[in-house]
Amino acid sequence: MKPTPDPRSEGPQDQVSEKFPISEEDVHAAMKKIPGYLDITASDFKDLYALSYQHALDRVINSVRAEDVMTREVVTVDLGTPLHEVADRMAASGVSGVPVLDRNGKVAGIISERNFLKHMGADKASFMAIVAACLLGQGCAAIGIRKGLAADIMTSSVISILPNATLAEASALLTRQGINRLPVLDEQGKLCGILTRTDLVRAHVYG
Amino acid sequence: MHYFQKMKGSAKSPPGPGAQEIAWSWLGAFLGITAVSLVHYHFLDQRDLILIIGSFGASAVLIYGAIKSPLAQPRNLLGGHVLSAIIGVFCFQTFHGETWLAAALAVATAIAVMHATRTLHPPGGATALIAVIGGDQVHALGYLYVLMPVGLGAVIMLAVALLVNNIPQTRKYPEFWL
Repeated sequence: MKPTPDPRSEGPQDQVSEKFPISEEDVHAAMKKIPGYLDITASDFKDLYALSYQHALDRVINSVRAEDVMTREVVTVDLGTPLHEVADRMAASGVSGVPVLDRNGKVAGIISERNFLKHMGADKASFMAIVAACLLGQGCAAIGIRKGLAADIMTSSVISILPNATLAEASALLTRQGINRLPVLDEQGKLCGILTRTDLVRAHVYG
Repeated sequence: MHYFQKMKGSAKSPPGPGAQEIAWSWLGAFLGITAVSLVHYHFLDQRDLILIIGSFGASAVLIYGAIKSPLAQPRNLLGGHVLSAIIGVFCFQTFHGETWLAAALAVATAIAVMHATRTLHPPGGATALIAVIGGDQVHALGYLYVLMPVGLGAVIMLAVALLVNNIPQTRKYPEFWL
């Protein structure tokens, strides 16, 4: 941050030029490729470009919906699924979190790697804390939850979104709640997909 | 693209400026033209000297009304007017037997030279043309035309542009000098 910013360089274009820097030299080189006289300076074009890019970005995150980018084939478990099976299923499908469904197929909770870690005695629920405990010869940290079921460790206050929520809303919710995935539920509460940070990154809108 | 289709135009016209921009353009032009015409009508007119020519009206559009345009920068304003004036006087003195040829050569050459020197300033075309069709008073000046009215007038207009265009926070002039 410059101490006394030029009033013209403030505002949204700064955000963009950090993410996608384009220099006056780039514009100058591009202008040379266009035959004929261009009645604009490279610096004005640069500002114009940054503002249009931001505008396009805003348009995308306000028009693309959760259902457009969410993962539709959701790996789920049931309330009564034993934890070793939950872990197995997560490992096999390469996901780090799964919704837990009740008997009616409604989402009753969500289990992520963090829930496992928390119940394996790690104070701050960190993987390295578990590793440290194992190396100190305190035995298998998972022993305490060996007989557990999904319902025992799941987070039951599930934050979810509707399929027609915009990516801007989804992105803000993820950041505000400090979470990594949002079950996408329709009006009837039926699970129709899951939206992860990875999905947002793939849609090029998550900052 | 098909020849006739190109005539339809395909781009969207750009948005207009705000009321503030219009007001500052008006004020700049008013003061700039005031400066040159006051001197012209109060001090020079009686002595067969001139300071104001028609092409300054066109320059005012650029340097007070479209100040971010490369066409409106000091290099273009001064370079465009002075080079075009030299070309205009030369064409008149060389081809004045055929005024139509002198006029056409003056404007066309002025554009080419302004382009080649990166000093393109549309009013320069008028400055070159005025050297040919501006009448006896202009013709009598010879190459003095380049210094006065053209050079001096442009410098005065530039001074006003520097003073006025930099007052509002939203405006700055020039974009570049050289």
